[in-house]
Amino acid sequence: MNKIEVAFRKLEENYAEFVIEGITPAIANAIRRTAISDVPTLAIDEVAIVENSTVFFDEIIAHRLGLIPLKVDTETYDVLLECYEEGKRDDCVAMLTLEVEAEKPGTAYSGHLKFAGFIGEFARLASAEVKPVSDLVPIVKLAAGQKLVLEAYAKVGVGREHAKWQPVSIAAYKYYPEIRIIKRECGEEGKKCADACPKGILKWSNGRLDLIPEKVEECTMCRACEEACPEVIKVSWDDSKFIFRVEGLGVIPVAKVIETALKRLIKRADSFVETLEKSIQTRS
Amino acid sequence: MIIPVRCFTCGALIGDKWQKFSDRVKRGEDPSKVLDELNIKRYCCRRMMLSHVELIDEVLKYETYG
Amino acid sequence: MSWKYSRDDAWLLVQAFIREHGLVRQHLDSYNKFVEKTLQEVVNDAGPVESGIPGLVIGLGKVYVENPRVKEADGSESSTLPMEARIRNLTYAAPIFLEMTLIEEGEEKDRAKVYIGDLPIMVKSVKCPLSKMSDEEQVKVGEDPGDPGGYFIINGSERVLIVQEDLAVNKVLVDYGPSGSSVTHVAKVFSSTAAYRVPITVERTRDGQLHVTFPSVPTRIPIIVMMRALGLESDKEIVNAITDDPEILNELYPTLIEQSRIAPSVEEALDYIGARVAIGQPKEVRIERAQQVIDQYFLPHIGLKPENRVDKAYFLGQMVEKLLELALGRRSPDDKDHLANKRFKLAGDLMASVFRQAFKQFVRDLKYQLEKNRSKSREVNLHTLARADVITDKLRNALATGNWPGGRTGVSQILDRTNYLSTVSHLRRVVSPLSRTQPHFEARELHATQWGMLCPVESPEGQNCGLVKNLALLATISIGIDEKEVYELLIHRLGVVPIKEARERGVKGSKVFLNMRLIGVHEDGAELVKVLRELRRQGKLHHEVNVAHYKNEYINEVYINCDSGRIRRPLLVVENGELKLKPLHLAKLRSGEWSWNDLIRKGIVEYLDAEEEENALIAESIDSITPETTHVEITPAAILGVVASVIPYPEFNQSPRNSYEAAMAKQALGFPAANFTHRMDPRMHFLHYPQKPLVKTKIFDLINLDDRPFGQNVVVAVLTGGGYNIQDAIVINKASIERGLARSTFFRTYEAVEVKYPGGQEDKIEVPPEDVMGYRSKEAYLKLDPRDGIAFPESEVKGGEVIIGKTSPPRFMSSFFDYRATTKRRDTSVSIRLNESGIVDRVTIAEDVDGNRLVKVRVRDPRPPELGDKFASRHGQKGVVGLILPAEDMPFTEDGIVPDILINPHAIPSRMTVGQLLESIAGKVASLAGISIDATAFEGTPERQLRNMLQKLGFRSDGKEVLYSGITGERLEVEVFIGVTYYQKLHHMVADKIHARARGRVQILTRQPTEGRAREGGLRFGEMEKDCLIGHGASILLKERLFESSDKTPIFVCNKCNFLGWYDARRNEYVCPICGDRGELHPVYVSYAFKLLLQELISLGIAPRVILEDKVGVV
Repeated sequence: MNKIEVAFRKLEENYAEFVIEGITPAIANAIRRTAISDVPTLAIDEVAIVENSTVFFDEIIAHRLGLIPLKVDTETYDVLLECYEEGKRDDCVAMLTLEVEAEKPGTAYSGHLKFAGFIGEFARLASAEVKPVSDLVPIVKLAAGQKLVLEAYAKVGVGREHAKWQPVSIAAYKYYPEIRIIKRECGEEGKKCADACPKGILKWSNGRLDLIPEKVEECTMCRACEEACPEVIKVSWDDSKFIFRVEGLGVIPVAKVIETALKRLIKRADSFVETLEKSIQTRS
Repeated sequence: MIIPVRCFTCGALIGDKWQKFSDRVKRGEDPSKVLDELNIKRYCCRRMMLSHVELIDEVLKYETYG
Repeated sequence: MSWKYSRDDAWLLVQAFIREHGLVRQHLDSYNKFVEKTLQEVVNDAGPVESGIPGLVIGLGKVYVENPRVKEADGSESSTLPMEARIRNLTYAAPIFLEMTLIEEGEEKDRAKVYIGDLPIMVKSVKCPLSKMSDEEQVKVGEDPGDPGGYFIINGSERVLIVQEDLAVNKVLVDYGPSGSSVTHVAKVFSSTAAYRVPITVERTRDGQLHVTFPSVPTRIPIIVMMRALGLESDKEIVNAITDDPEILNELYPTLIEQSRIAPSVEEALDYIGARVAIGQPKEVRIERAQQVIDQYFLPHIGLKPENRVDKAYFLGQMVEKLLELALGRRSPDDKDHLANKRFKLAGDLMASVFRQAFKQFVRDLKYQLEKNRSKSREVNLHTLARADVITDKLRNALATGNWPGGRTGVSQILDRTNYLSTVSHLRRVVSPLSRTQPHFEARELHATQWGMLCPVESPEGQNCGLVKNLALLATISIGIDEKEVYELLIHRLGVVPIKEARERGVKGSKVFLNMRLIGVHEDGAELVKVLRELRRQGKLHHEVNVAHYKNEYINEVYINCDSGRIRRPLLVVENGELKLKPLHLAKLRSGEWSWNDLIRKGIVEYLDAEEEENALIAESIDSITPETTHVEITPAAILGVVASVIPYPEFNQSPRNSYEAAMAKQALGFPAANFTHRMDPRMHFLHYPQKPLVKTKIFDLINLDDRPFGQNVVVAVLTGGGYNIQDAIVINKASIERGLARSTFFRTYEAVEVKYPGGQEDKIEVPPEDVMGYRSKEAYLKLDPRDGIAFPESEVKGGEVIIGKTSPPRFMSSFFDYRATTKRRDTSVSIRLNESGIVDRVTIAEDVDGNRLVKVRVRDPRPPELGDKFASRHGQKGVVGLILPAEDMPFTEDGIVPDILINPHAIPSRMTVGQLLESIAGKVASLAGISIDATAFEGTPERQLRNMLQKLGFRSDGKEVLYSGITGERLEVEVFIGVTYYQKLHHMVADKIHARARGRVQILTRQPTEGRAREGGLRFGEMEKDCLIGHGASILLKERLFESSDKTPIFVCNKCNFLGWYDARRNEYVCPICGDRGELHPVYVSYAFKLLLQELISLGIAPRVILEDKVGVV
């Protein structure tokens, strides 16, 4: 087996771009899929409407609240994760309240959500804080005199269940491009070729076609250049090397998302091994 | 009606950026530039902003009726 | 000159047009004219009411229509507005007052302004206060300023009067006779006055003889006899009335000689007719009847008085001449489908015809009341004489049912409020009264004259195809101006010689027709036409007057029309090969100094009807102007109607696809009206996050469609979806749905009225007590508020649950059996429809016109998209959701974009909806570049430009991208076409259609399972299914389906007499009605329908016998 190598091109709180080498598309995809659908996060799942005199129906407001990403610090997240993995999601429910009364026309924002503590038996959460990633998400606009009072209960869940629990907006990769210029000195043909590339990876001057090295990774392998001049250029890719892009929603740092995804993937594989062993044992 | 919280397609949070976007575009700025500056890059998210109609303002006018 | 008429200029003009006209001007103008003018005319026509008592007359004076108001049950009155009418189920109507004078022996006895009835008021017409309100004021009274108006509110429901297409009345149309008959040529005219319509036909038979037929005379009358009866004594006079052309005269001679003999004098001619209408009467009576018939029923549009007879003779002559011209081959038969031969009846005309009938009845009643009152020698009071209900009820009934005098049905329809577009389109609809079951191929086909007048795209498929049409964007319908003014102008100022004089003096030249009637001759028709057009362009002649000059070797005719109901369209005037429109005019328009009307007044733009268009050479653009060009199109895109205008790049689509989309756009969910939160429509949908399309057409800015969107921009990939998007299905991203894509809410409003019956009994809205008749289970009433018997708002309700509890007094004691039961009150509660559920959203409690309490409960049902819901793009590409695929299984791009929808590639090639592909690319460009792309018909952003832009934005110019499988993680072999397309969610949703049943209800009569979802019906095992089982030889299954599980029933047949008997349970014995106790009864299992048949036959006195035999063999 090849050695797996990882090189980060960019790593920010909510965005990561890195190259992985030495895995198959299936593994890369497993990471991607897990990041999207199987990394637990916190999102509002139940809403008790106390008063709603706005133009929006209760279900629309509840739907919107659910989609507001909620931020937790990493320590709290680990506890929540544990809670979820132990199958006790009802024991780590974050309660938020919202009370907006408009004296003059205004808007109820996500910032109006007040964290009111955790409910349930997961005592270690006592000191945690849950708040929306952004305070500026409008929930509903109110006319003068309208009122919105509610209690929202955020639970841990995974993206597979509902998209609101996805920790990332983007988790995607591409194969690592390999561009081969067959005929460098190609005259006018080369200009056509260079112009065909929407990303501007090719440079043509004085009848000579060249790659711009720092832009090669931008290649989408769309083969537009190949179609323009099949004799001059050949685009292929390395399907054991991937350029990954992950964009987080700010719920937890993307690094944490990837880490958790991998851990959950491994855990799953482990539990599979375990089950397998058990069943082999019982058979023999 | 009101700006959706997330981009339908990719799930990126966009609801919080609408007010800024709409204000700046109303002031006459180029929507494309505003979107770039708000870090809304993908076409799925951009269409959420560009094609949104804040109809709730119209609906709210009727709240004084009846 | 560097200025050139550009697309922008064109749309500036269109905008000016729309701003001034709105979208429903035809209805509003027509109705306004009705209220302001026609109403008075109808009254004037009815004239003074003469009673049966000599010298006693009621004079009718001025009509007044007040403002809309409600008349409450307690008699009080207050002004009202549409929103109140809608919510309280009122009729939005205003009282009509009529000045009446009682005249006795020529002396005025009493004078009063009398209330004669209620006139339904068209929303936003002159009589509607909304028309005078600003947008803010309209909002304040709960009205949507964007609402076009043009409809009525009858008993709370919005009703449109559909424009009715009709063959032009009073116009002579010639044609060949039907093949196989002796008639070779026919000239026909529908002579029509406001009140009635008489078909008059002149026929030429194979022997060259001419006859005229009209109703009320049972036989055909020789033409010469008819002319003579009309007062033309000599042959010379008759010939003068017909023609001055020797060749035509030649053709006429045989008839003249032959028929002149029949009746050489006027008296004999009259007697000839009289003998056929008053058979067996003395001569004086015969002649009098003949005169009456020709005055009343022959060509009534010319007049009803004896002095009109000569004019009628000339009109008949006009018919004969036209007929003979056809016979001589000088002209071809008239084209019945030519728009010049059609007239369109608008709301005002339709209202006028009902009102006329109603008023006639009112007058009859008035006369009767007057006589009755007088004979009882009471003091006559004008107020008590007039019975206002007659007019009120007649008008309201016609509007409420759509049944019009003349037997037309479906004239008024409930306004379509699915979305804004469907509302507007409904208000611009035109229907032809031709029968939908007959082929009428020519009438359904698109006629060249419909260019720019009627939309070539928007017409339904199937039986109404081509009969239901819609107005094109710039088309208007003439309202009609007074013919007299034009006549005066022609005769006295423009040198038209009156026809009689011309024939006598032998003046030659062009025949001049005014509103299709030959009025005279002008020496130089071309000059006359030129002068008239010049006058019109100078604003000295009303713009509604249209002129046409037909000239060839034989024919030289000038047609001048100023009647109502002609479709017309505006065109830019070209004089001497140059546009009259100049940049200066556009600048004035832009600055607001000028309006559309100024352009018309100045003759820069003029309206042409189909007739005048025959004279025009219209250039499609200014580039194709030649010295002969007379006009230029404002913009070619204006040939489309409002709905078709919404389609981006329509010229790239296969034409039927555009028609499909035009039909589907009217089913798209969106934002129907700004005031929808307050509306209590029986059914209503609303899309939670509607978006304006990124790829727009000009119409969106013209009518503010951006604020009334009807779909969402969706990322669409053209890709197979694991077999789940085969056959037009679509695969939709689960995450997108969860984030709010295509989410909608359905509203249904339930209603209950607490009726107060005469006699003190009344309904009661309450939680029904347990002892009422028909009490459901206790659980059914659980959602009701015990205090008022209405469900709590925001309570969840399921099918069958009561939301308005109501009890009614016992039914009238009708039969002996019910006696005990009828003393108890009945449960008449309103419950949620079976198969439906929702949340109680809004409750209104109001008082209806009769003072009864009216409760409306609106229930909402959230509808996130689900498997089987219908979606469509704007290119006639519809499909149902075939799979909701989790986001991680969807293919993705390297940017992480996961398409919202996957459509099957097979949907494209055979349908050739290239427009959709262009829209997809344009949508992608639009979102990336932050602009909206224009895709108006014939002038959309060209493909080349889109491709260049897309390339610059970093994507392949053909819109394809590399996708990776979400399941295997591998790159898809081929690049996939992906882009942003506007998709509509259509109102056909699975939740409204899903249905299954095992056992259940049966019909009372046949005991077979009921039919239809609403009745929990069974699924029909039809004829073809039956054949299938026969083919398989599955006879026992067949018996099970059609018999055991259907209406199996035992009957008892007497083996002695072979008649039906029965089992008497009380005595536990079998009885045969024939054989008595000696009967030998056997149970037989038959279909209940068969038992029914036997009994029906018995009831007819037929004795059906059932012969029994022993069962042989198995089973």
